Order: sequence, then structure tokens, then C-alpha cells
Amino acid sequence: MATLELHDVTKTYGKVQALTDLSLALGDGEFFVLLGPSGAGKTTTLKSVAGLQEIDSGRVTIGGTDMTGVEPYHRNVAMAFESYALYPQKTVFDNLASPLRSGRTGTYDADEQRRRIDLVTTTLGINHLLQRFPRELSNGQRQRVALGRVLVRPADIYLLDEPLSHLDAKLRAAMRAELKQLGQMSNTTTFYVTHDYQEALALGDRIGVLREGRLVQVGTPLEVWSRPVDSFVAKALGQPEINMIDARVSDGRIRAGDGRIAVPIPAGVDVAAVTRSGSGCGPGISSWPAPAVAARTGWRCRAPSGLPNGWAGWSSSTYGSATWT
Amino acid sequence: MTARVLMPGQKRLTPGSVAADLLTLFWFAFSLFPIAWMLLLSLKSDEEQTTTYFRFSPTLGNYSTVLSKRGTDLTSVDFKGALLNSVLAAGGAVLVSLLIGIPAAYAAGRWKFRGSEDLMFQMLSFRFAPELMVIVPLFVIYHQLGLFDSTVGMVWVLQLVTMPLVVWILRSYFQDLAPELEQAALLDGYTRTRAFLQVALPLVRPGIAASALLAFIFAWNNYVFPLILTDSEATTVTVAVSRFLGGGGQAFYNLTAAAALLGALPPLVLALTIQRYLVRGLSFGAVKA
Repeated sequence: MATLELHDVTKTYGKVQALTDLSLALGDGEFFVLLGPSGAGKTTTLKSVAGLQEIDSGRVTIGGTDMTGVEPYHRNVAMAFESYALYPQKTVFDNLASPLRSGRTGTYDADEQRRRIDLVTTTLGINHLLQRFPRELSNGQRQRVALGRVLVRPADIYLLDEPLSHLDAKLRAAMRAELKQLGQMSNTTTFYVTHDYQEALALGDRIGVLREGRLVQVGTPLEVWSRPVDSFVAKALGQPEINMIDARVSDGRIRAGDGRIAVPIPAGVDVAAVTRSGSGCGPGISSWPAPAVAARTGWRCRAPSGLPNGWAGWSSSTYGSATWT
Repeated sequence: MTARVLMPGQKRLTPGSVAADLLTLFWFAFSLFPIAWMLLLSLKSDEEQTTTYFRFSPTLGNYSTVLSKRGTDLTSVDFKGALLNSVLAAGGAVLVSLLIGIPAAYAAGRWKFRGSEDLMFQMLSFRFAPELMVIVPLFVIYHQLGLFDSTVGMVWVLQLVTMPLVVWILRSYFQDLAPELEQAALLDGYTRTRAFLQVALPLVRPGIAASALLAFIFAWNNYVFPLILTDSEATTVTVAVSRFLGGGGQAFYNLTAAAALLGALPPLVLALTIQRYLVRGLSFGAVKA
């Protein structure tokens, strides 16, 4: 249990800029989700926190202690790798016992080891797999063992790299619900990486959206969902994608969709208007947090007075850095 | 008329396939004949050793002569001593290569540092260089250091042959291992040394077996270095075998054949014992899992 801070972390691989001035602060016990497409630098961020790779500049602080340049085994963080990274020559039991036997995560006698492993495997439903080798497991089972190796030990921070990505859709939904219920998860600061916006919305206390090594927006799921700072964030969340329609301001109103949409606004500039599909013109954002099931509602509203709930409008001059495409 | 349906594994008998089979048979006969000839020669008595007949009265006497004191007196070749020398020299060279080569291969496979590729290439270049090119300076150096005709000297020179082999084979094994495995060990609380010893090393065991065997065979079969750098004390099998041909004295072809076959046995036995590892080992390194 600890806070985690990244200050201006920068990392390059040769000529590729993986992370650019990434700054982020996770509160004690927070469940933070980093969302981004592949290649955005999500795994690089986790490995920088874990100390598995050196960062070019910037600082990583865990629980107030500067951990930059500290060896991974001194950082007291646990990580689940996307590739599972289970030891092929060890059984599931020995894989799970590995962090308990290193002597650096605390001292556990054989009974205590068995008790902790039993607790975790029961939670994850992999009790019957203890004597198997990783090669004898399905990908879903492997992923749960990898998750178990993280949960079996106390740690300051859990780092989870796409821990649900290889599960089938049904299991993923079930695990997503379970993950949030796990006692340890709610107590321990968790840094969770995914490219799945539903996971991000469902799990995160806060979400950070990463694009090409830069943090674009950080906020609660509701903030990121309803007030995206730019079109990249807006498009990163939601399936089907958010509606974006060019509009023009005239007579104090935004007009789009052949004039069927007219929203009052101070006159003067070009405006991009976005709406979440499913939110329609109803009060509040009715479809959240299950936008995937909502149908694309299109533009059926007529001349509402003021911006309706679920609508957002920005002038490009106000958000100079934001890109609307 | 319909074509006959062939069962799996059945082959259509065409002139081409027959010719291919015959060619294969011919190739086998051609490549196995010297070995068969050696076997026959090793069973011939002194009287028959220069004949080319396939019919003769076979005897195992040559084998016992080669290994006995009587044979040493007769030919002035201490073959048993040479066998021991070879075991010590080749075994020692492999041991040194593994002790230094495994960590070196790990470092070369895992970390890129300034000049790491140059270093690896430099190591490989030992294998390009003809042995005869370095033998004269080595001869002088060995005489001055007192390494001439010593087992330590043989171990030292043979590891020049085996080290690049071990390092280059094992490097590819280590590269094929996912670095995440050791990273997971680091986060489990293990130091880099323990991650290497407990996670990476057990996983490349087949590679170690394969490279150690190849290295042993290369060291065992080396002829030029022991020929020039030993005299009598540290003489190895390869040199001893050639001495049965007699430098100016009587040539014992039958004894030479027997000695050569005996000399080929240890690597052969070794290869058969660790064959299980070898097959897995040689394919493991080649294909990314």
C-alpha cells in the first residue's frame, strides 16, 4: 500500500520516443487504469515503475521514496505480465510460491505459504490446477495463475499488464466483475493497463488515456467519458464510436444536420460538437457505463435550449492544444 | 482407368523415385565404406593386414595389443595414457568453456553494450582462423611458459576451439528465452544472479548438453594442436593413433584401425547417452517457441 508518482518520465528506444514527460500521481489504494492503443507506451510505463528498464529522465516515487534507479527486487511491487511469464519448469503451485520463497516479500513457512496460495487459488478458481505445469494450461488459466502470483504476496503496488486480454469474452466479463471485488485489489494501489475501454470504465477509480507516449487526459471514468479533452480520447472510448459532426454557428446557435440540430451558443467561432450515442436528448447520460449495448441514436433532437446533458461543445480556440478531426 | 489410391506412406514406383533411392543407397555405401574397411582392417592379423580380401580369419588381438603394455613396448605408443590425456584435455576444455561460456553467452544474449557485437564477432573469428596460422607463435609461447607437453596447456589451447562454440550456441538459447521470465523473478524478489541461476539456467539445459557435447567432440578430434604442442606426456588419442603408422619404423595398419575405432568410442558413447537432450536441444535453439 503506497502512493505512486511519476515525474516527467521520458524513455526512448533508439529513435522511438516511447514515453514523453509522463507525470502521474496515484493515491494510496487507488485503482488507476491506463488506457491506450497498442504501442502507446502502456507496458513501458509499467516496466518503468517496476524498474525493469531504466528511464532516460524523470523520477519514479513509491510511497514517497525516490525509486529511480533502484533494483526491481527492492521496490516491493508485483506485476502480472501480458505474456504471463510463468516459469515453465515449475508447477502452478511452485510458480505461486516463488514470490513467497524469495525472502524479500516477507518470511513464510511452508504452512503459511500453502494457506496464502490456497486463498488466492480459491478466489481465482484455479484450485484444481496446482500440480499442473504452465504448458498444460489454457491461456485463460495461465492468465489467472499470473494474476495469482501477484495477489499471493503483499506489495506496495500491483502492476497489471492487460491481465484479462487473453480470456474469452464471457470469462473476461466475469473476471472484470470479480477483479473489482477482490479484497487485496481494493486495499492495494493498483496500476492497471488495458486497451479495452470497457475494462477501463468498469474498473478504474481514475483513467489515464495514453497516446504515443503522452498522457492526454486523466480523470474519473465519468469525466473521461463525457468530457473528453480531444477527439482522440473521445474516439478511444465507446463502441460504436462517438458521433462527430461539423457544425456552424449562426444566429447564436450551433447548426448541424441540415438545420435539424440547433444549439444556442455565443456566436463567433467554428465549433465541434460531440454526443455519446445512446445519450440522445434524454436527461442525464442514460447509457453509461454500458455504451456498447446502446444503439446509435443519431440526431433526432430538435433545437434544444442550451446544451443538453450528454452533449458537449467546444470552440477550437478555447482548447488550442486539443485536436478535433 | 483410374489411378490406384495410395495409402499414407506408400510411394508410387516411378523411374525417378527408384533412381533417387538407388542414389541414396550409393551415397550411404560410399560414406560408410571407409568405416567398414577400418572395422575389417582392425580385425586382421599382422600377416593379413596388407591384403584387400574380405575373407580372412578375424582376431580381436589388435584391440588387446593396442591397450596393453606389450603393444606399448612394440610400437612405443602408450595408447591407454593417450586416452586418459584426451579425456582430461577435452573434458577440461569443455568444463572451462562452460564455466566461462555460459555466463558470457547469457550476457551477450541479454544485454547490448558498447562493442558487444564486436566482442562476439571477435570470439567467432577464432573459428575462422586456420589453426596452422597460430600454431607457430603458440609453440614458442608454450615453450617459454613451460606449457609444452602438459595437460594444462592442452586444456588451454583446446578451449580456444570450444569456447566460441559454446558461447555462440548458448547465446541463441538465451535469446530465445522470454526476458519476462527473469523480470518476473526480479519482481518476485530474486536478485539478478538468482534469476539467472534459478530461472534462465534450468531452461537452457538442453542447450548446455548439446553445446557441451559438440565442444567435447571438437576438442577430442583436434589433431593439429596436440601434434605440435605435445611430445609424449600429454599426447592425445588423435596423435597416438597416427603414431601406429610408425614414423619411419614399421607401419601397423591393423593396430591403427583398432586404435582409431577405440578412439572414436568415447564421443560416440557420450552422444548416445545424451541423445535425448541433444535432439530436443538442437531444435530448441533453432525455432522460436
